[in-house]
Amino acid sequence: MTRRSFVFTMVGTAVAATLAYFGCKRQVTSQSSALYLPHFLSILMDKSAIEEIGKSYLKKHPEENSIEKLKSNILSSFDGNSLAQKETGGSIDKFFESKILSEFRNGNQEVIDGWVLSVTEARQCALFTVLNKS
Amino acid sequence: MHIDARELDTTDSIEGDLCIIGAGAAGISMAIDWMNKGYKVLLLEGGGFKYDEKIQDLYAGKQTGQRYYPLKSARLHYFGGTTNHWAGMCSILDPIDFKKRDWVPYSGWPITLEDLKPYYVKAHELVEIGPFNYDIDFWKSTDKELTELPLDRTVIFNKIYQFSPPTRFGEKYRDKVTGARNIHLYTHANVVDIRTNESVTSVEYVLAKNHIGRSFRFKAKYYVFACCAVQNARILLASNKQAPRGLGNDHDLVGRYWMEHPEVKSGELWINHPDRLKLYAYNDGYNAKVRSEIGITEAMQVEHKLLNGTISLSPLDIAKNMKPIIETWSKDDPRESYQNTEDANIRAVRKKWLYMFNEHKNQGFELFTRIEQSPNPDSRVTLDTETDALGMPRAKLHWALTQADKQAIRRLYLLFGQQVGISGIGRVKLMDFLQDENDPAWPSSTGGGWHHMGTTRMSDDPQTGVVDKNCQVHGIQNLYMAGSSCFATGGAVNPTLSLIALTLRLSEHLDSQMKTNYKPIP
Repeated sequence: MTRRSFVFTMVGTAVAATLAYFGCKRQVTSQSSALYLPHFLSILMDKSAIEEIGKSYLKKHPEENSIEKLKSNILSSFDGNSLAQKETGGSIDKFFESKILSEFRNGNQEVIDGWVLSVTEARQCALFTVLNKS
Repeated sequence: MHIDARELDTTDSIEGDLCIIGAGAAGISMAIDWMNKGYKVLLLEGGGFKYDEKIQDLYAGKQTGQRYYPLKSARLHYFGGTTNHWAGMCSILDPIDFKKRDWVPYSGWPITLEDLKPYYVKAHELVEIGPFNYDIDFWKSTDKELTELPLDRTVIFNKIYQFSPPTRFGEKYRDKVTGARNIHLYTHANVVDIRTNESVTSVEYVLAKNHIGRSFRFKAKYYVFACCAVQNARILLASNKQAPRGLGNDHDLVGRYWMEHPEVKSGELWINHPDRLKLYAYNDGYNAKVRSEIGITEAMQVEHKLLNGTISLSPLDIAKNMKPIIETWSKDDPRESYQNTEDANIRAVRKKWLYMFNEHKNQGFELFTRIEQSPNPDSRVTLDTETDALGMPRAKLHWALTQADKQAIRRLYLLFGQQVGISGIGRVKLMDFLQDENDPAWPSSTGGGWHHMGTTRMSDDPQTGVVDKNCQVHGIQNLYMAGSSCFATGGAVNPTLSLIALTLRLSEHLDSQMKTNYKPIP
């Protein structure tokens, strides 16, 4: 892994075109990069490392190898009613921050490509990888 | 006083009150403790005051099992012992190390940390370190730059180490020992046999030899072997003329449960706000008094069924260029191995290390594990058929690690990774060898800390231990073992300070025994 020193830009027009696909969940469209961009990891590592994590996750969980499935899992409980969402005022960034913290606290973590990650951020890496391919 | 046994010309037994065999950290500490006590102390050292290839060769032996440093170069065989090149890292065992843990077979000591504490205080003086205080808040109050990682203290704690100069016992205490009226230091006196009474309940004398062909009998009221874990076992096993399985070995325990601290690069920590983390710096190139390693609290060790271990940090830019010590310390000659290690790692990185921890802010750190090895009867010292120059069977070491040891490392890092995630400071990455929990293989970089422990383990029950809680060999009233061979478990820390403390405790016990049974010489 190389040292992370940049902020992620869009991963390409393929991603931009796909964002509309996420429209089924409320308030998501304008902040959709949060879906496929594991914000904290993007501070620590570069694109290729995130893709490697994504590939490893999909290899371990082939049943989730679809945009719809990953999106659904990543956004689970983002329905406007969850405690995490209420506590974070509906912001998707805050929602993910809270969800990832909660997953670590509950031991809902996985070792993917060696990284000890919360399940949601691992899925975000997977979605990033899938979108990059499409 | 000092007597070179090569120049000794006597066939008479040499008599004293207390006979200490071995003049390393343990033996010298005990001898100093007996200065001016009114009893005659015989301190026997196999070597002289400096390195001698012929003497060092007596420590050579065969090895099987887990790759390890050559036996010949893993210990030094002259006055001062291995303190002549030790690194000086000092810390204390944790309370849990002494407890019976149902997930650690053969764990549990017949003493507690509280029993050792008074002797740790005395040991501090001998190794020239600071106050007997291992509390992170105390040390932070002495230096504002010692900031700790913001991790949950109910899960993670800072295991504090203090740095000895390091004290070279040979240089530091030579004049003191040889100048003491009641301490009779015999150099070039290698004990090769222990002779007992007919019923094998009491030692009558020890037989020492040297390379010029002389042999001597040393007689005393009490005998203490302080020769290191490999050699303590070797001499007991080799003393088999009256007890065919060796002394103290009625239950086939002598030499078994040999332990090291497996040491291995295990992962990386990446933090979002680069920092110096000076608290975690090794004392290499500047005058640090303390360093912290990352430990796991007792409650969490119990909950997660962990072995006691610590994680140390090194700036990744330095660590990635360092060779595993198991590769650099591969020569039989300890001077060559030491030099190889210095050349490959220490000299090359010393200045940079200083810079990285004191000036530069780092984002990536290598995570390095030192962990206790679960006591394992198959990890053992036995006798070889080959003999050394003095006719004594050489030692043969089989170091056996288990999959449980490795899985404990993985659990340690999963817990640490979780806590780092909760804290929001970064993420942890495991090295390849830890990614599959069912993979039993150890990486080729796995080494040890030259920490030999456990071959004459302590237990109140003769069926589970060689020595009792006072380090007396079960069934032999005047024979004692000193040092880390008596450890029942190894804990997570470098053992020197603890083995000195345990030896000073034994010293006090023997003082009491001596006073009860024998009057001092006026």
